[in-house]
Amino acid sequence: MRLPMSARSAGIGLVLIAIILRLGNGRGFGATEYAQLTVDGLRSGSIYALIAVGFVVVFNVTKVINFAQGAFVMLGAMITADVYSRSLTGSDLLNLVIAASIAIVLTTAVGVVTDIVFMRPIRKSNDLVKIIVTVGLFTALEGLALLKWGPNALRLPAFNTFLTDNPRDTNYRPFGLLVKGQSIWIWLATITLLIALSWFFTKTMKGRAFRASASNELAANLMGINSVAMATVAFGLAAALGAVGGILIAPATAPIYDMGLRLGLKGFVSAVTGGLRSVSGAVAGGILLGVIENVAAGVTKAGLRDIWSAVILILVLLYRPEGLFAGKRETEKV
Amino acid sequence: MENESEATHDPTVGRDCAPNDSRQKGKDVKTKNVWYRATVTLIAAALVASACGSDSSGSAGDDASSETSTSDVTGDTSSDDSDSPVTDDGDAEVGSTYRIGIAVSATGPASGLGAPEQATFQLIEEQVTADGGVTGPDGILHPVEFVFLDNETNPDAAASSMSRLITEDAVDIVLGGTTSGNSLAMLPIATENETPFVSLASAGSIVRDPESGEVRRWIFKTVHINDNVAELVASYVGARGSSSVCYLAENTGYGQDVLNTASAAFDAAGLEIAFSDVFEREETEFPQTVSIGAAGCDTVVIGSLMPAAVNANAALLDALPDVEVIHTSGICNGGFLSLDPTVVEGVTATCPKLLVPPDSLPDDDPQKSVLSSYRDAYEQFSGEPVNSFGGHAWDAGQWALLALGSLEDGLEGAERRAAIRDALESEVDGFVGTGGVFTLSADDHVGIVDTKTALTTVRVVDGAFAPLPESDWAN
Amino acid sequence: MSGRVSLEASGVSKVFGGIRALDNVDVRVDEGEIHGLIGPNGAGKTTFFNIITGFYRSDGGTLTFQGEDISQSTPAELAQRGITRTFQNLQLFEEMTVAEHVMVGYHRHGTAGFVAGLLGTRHARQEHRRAVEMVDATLERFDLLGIADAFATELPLGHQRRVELARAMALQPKILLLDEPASGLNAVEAAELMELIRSIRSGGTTVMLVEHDMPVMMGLADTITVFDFGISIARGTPAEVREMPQVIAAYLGEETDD
Ligand SMILES: Nc1ncnc2c1ncn2[C@@H]1O[C@H](COP(=O)(O)OP(=O)(O)OP(=O)(O)O)[C@@H](O)[C@H]1O
Ligand SMILES: [Mg+2]
Repeated sequence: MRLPMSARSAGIGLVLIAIILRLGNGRGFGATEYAQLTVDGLRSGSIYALIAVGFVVVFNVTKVINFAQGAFVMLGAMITADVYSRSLTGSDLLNLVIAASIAIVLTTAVGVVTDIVFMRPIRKSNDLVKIIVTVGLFTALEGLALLKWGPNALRLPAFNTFLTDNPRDTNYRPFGLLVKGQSIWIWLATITLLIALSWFFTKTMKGRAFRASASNELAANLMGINSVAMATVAFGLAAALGAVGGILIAPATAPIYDMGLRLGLKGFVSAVTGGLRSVSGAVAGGILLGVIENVAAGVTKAGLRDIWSAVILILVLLYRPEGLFAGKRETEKV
Repeated sequence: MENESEATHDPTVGRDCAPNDSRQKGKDVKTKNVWYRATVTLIAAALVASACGSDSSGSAGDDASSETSTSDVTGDTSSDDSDSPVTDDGDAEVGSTYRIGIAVSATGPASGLGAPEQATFQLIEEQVTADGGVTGPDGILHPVEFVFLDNETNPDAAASSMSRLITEDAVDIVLGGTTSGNSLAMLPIATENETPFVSLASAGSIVRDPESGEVRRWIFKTVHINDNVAELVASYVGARGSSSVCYLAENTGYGQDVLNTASAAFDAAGLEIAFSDVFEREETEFPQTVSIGAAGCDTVVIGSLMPAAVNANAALLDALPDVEVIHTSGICNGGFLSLDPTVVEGVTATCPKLLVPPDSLPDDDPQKSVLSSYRDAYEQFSGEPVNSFGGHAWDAGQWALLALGSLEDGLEGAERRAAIRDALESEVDGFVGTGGVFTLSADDHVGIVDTKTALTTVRVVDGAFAPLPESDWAN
Repeated sequence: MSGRVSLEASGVSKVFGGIRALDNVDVRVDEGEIHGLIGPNGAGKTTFFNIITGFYRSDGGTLTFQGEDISQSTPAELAQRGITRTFQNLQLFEEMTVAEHVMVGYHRHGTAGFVAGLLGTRHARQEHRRAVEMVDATLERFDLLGIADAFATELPLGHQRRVELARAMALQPKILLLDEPASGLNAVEAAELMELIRSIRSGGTTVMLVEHDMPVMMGLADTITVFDFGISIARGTPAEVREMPQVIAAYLGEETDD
């Protein structure tokens, strides 16, 4: 069964690549253009990856698809932009650091409170109820953001502007490509964060306890691990990851109260692409989605961009519901 | 008039509440798995709910349902007037009271548009009340009562405010609407009850039924349509001798409409759009710039509202710094200049004349005096800087007063409303307003004969809009 | 055997729908002993374990551990107090190595918080180093060093049982409840297991054992309680219990595996 299945996936992949090349050819695209589209896709993909890891972390521990995740992203971006604009100190760089720290702490607190106040009481309810509650939380957080910040966009300057005299982002142009300074910040921060996370999960007592709880709640309980508390940790961690994603992407867009929905859905599709249970799968899923989406949008109509995530979601669910990167060890969880 | 377009297509307005939002359709994923379908649908529902729900929550804090009791003020004044003119001034007779209904988005996401409209109507009310009302051709003075309702930036509330104004308050004409969504929800009720309605929103379909192509008999608007914008942009681009033009439009009703109208206008001007594409409002990556680069365009028109217009502009500036960027009127209000000044310096846009300093207009401009007197009056009355939303309200109010001032005494009810409607078509003839020089007719319920009376090209210089007269276009 | 009571249940009952899985049972486990719990299939042995370890709540009666009421405690709390168990059907962590299983067992001895873990503070790192030492000792004791880095769920059943045991012992429990640890093991493996259980007891941990394999049970247990249809019908040394008529009656036609 596996061989024809993977043959089919590979076939679909090849056909997609052929179509992309065909379409790009019609526009006179060469290697530089494809490379440019890929580089840009890698940067939104990194953000999707961070958001997707948030979905996975919560899903593993609580079996809930937390649709409030997008709101955490929005809060990270909006709180940072808001606090930054208040110029609390004389140094812009310091203002950014303060704003980002406040945003991460506050958003994490929102995640923790979300779990304690809303999710804990319905711990024993069925999954549909929990998902509806997370959707409701998303709606509520977005509504609160609209009340707080109104319908207008905020702004956060690109991080490079804090280190240079250039009022705009410093752009690098290696090999005729455009690499925005902010992209480098995004990649560095994402890589650092993922390494830290993996160190936490594999090398610390609490991280291991967290994984144990995600893997087998029953057995983890017997080891003295409080799975209820682990759920709270999961929400806090997911919120923090979402907030960081929001902060990193804020300078690339104009943060606005309803920016969370789209990013949240992209993170969700990335997580599903990676199998919904695997952190590394989610990261790969996010990066893959970012690149595919951007290249596909580049050779077709960009107005279709959001359709690609839906297409990927459908293909994954139809052909590889266990995730694109699931190895043979993948087993059904009890 | 970017204002109107914003009014109509303000990102938070209408779009997310519209039942058939394309974004939702895009997300309407069909999978075997009921879970994902259910959850994705729920998310879509949440989107709608959040936009719509928060509208109402937004308005809850403010004096939401709001029939502002201006009738008291007006009532008192009119009784004063009925005393004074009759006793002090023997020959001024006082006729029946005219009632003007106002229904703008005083609260909700479009309150940034509705508030200046509301203030402008209050300004007009104050002026009319000071005059005692309007005097007909027969010399009879009619007090004018203004009835204010809040449509809350919500099509349902807008429709019910229209019903209330007509049935409970028995107004003779309704002004308002603020957004296209609200206006489209309100106009069937106006038509059904044969009550003239002057909308302040941008969509061309407000005055012309897109299916039958016919002008809606009872509906007018003071806001230019996107064809006006397209025409001005095309003549500007043509004058610059651009070799190749690309077009980027925000993926919203507004963006789609400016893009569609642009094709026609560019065709007419003999210009070809080498590449066009849309982009999402919260976009972070703009792969379109790669195609624009490959197409070799030296000019890119961005048809978008805030804040997406600045995002697209920034992406172009980074990827193709030598390309000239032109914006449509969607950005003229709403923080375009302040959101990221490093991006917009030097770009060109087509904006309502009201947004440039009046003394920078040539002296022979017939609108110069109305533009500057409205600006002064508004800024003094409201304490806020002028914007074009209020200007559209000003023009609508003046149209209504013109029509009312042409009525013979003795008309009541349906007869009076029909006479007002007819009078709009006949009396608004070469009317010099803030948003254009208007000549209404049975075939034209906007009445902007010359686009350049509605819009002017501007360039961002030192963080402000500076007028860009036609003579400087080539520079 | 020391005479002090470790675990005492009296009047414990559990009803599932119409089924009385446990009906007013009394069990007393003394500290330091290996206490066997036997009974035909469906007698309620696993249910009893589930109640002791907090997965189910008793429908009545009292439950004490070292004299303190534990009837309302959660599994995690009980684990923190030193009560843990293995499962009849194994409960291992997917995608975790044998060593990591043991380390999770050691979890209750950790004090570094989450933020410390995330930030990698000195405390967290030292604690990790201590844990690694402890884990090596446990792995050695359970003869798992050679497969320390294998994923536990990919091992043969005999190894998996030892991993579960090692994980439970990493907790350094005061009482360990074993639910059919020998099932599925061959004779050699079963003999090794008996040795391990004895060594666990001699290390000071009280053991409560459910086992269908009678030779194993008779060879290990100091005291045996017999359940039948949710009732505790007998208690005594293996030799005593074996002779009791009610036990023989309960096992009539059952004891085919001897
Ligand atoms: N969660 C449950 N829901 C309903 N009935 C249950 C549940 N758990 C156990 N039972 C029933 O309670 C009775 C006792 O079951 P239990 O598993 O405790 O027996 P056991 O002595 O462990 O049997 P075995 O030797 O087969 O493992 C059985 O009739 C079983 O079907
Ligand atoms: Mg059992």
